[in-house]
Amino acid sequence: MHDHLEHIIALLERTPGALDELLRGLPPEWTDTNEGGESWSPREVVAHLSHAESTDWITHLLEHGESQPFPAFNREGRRDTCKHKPMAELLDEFAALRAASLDKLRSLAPTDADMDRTCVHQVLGKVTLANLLNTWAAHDITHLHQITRVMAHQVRGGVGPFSRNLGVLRCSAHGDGPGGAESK
Amino acid sequence: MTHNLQHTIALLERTPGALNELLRGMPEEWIGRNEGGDSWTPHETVAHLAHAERADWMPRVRHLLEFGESRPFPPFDRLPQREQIQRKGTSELLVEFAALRAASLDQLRELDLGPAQMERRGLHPALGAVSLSQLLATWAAHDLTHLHQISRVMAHQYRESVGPWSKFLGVLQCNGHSS
Repeated sequence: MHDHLEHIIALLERTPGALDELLRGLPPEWTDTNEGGESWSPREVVAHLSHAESTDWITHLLEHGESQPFPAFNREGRRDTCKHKPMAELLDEFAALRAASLDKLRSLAPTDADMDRTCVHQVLGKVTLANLLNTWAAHDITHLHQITRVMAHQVRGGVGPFSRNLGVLRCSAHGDGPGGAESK
Repeated sequence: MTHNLQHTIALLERTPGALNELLRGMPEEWIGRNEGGDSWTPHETVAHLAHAERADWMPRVRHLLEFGESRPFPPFDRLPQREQIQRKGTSELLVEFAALRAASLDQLRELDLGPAQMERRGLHPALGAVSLSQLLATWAAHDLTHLHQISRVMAHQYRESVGPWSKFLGVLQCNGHSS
């Protein structure tokens, strides 16, 4: 297995636990509120992570290479249905899907040569397996970054003069919700 | 959400566990690297959180309740934080942060703060008059700003290796905002 893969897996196997510790049992004032308009709540972000987890582009890349682009990814997948599920269930679902996809990744055990294999992303063009695997980890992190920003937004009015010392309140979202850039 | 003490506590009691799950046992490449220059690593950020827990939050709450606006909060001395960064491993700092946080929340609950106390004011040496309610909301927001920072610093390590996907990853467009 490629050396760097262990580094990627170290993050991927920790994200569900970190989100669980942060969000399980937290009042809905933190988890079900957004940054206004159509922006995402932490609850919806967790559902999005599960949706992304159930989309296996690694096998697709290894099977088809550049002969067949990745299928389209619906970022809104599970966004509506998640409203009716308890947060605990959404977190359990993500953890189970992640554990299964890591088992699969370990069994695929991509080699150095595999890491340079390519497929075509419908918008981004040619990408390597290494790009895809690194993005999987970075995608976890971008959504952790988003969740902390959405939560901080809820106390924006409550911190008074301290707001100028809180960098998260100056984060401008960088398009990680609908209407901005895609996230897969 | 207007400031609500129970909501603040709900967040404050979860942060150490979340950081522990995210960072414990992580390879050095994730926790020991920064965004260049003097910027902070996740390891240094955990040291900062532990130090703030010891020297900043509850001491300031007590100071505000005791002195009101008659005496500014004592300055936040960052020297012990730098020493801890050198001396301690991330795992040790995570344990320390969790223990300090649990102790501060015990102290906070013991104060049994009511609505009238939440409006009392203290004097921040740089920001001027602040209410207890603002100080407590900031405690929660400070956890979040550093989780936000840690996620940004970690993502920075993959800036090149994600290839064309960088344009879709919002965290890679985050410009730091100072923390």
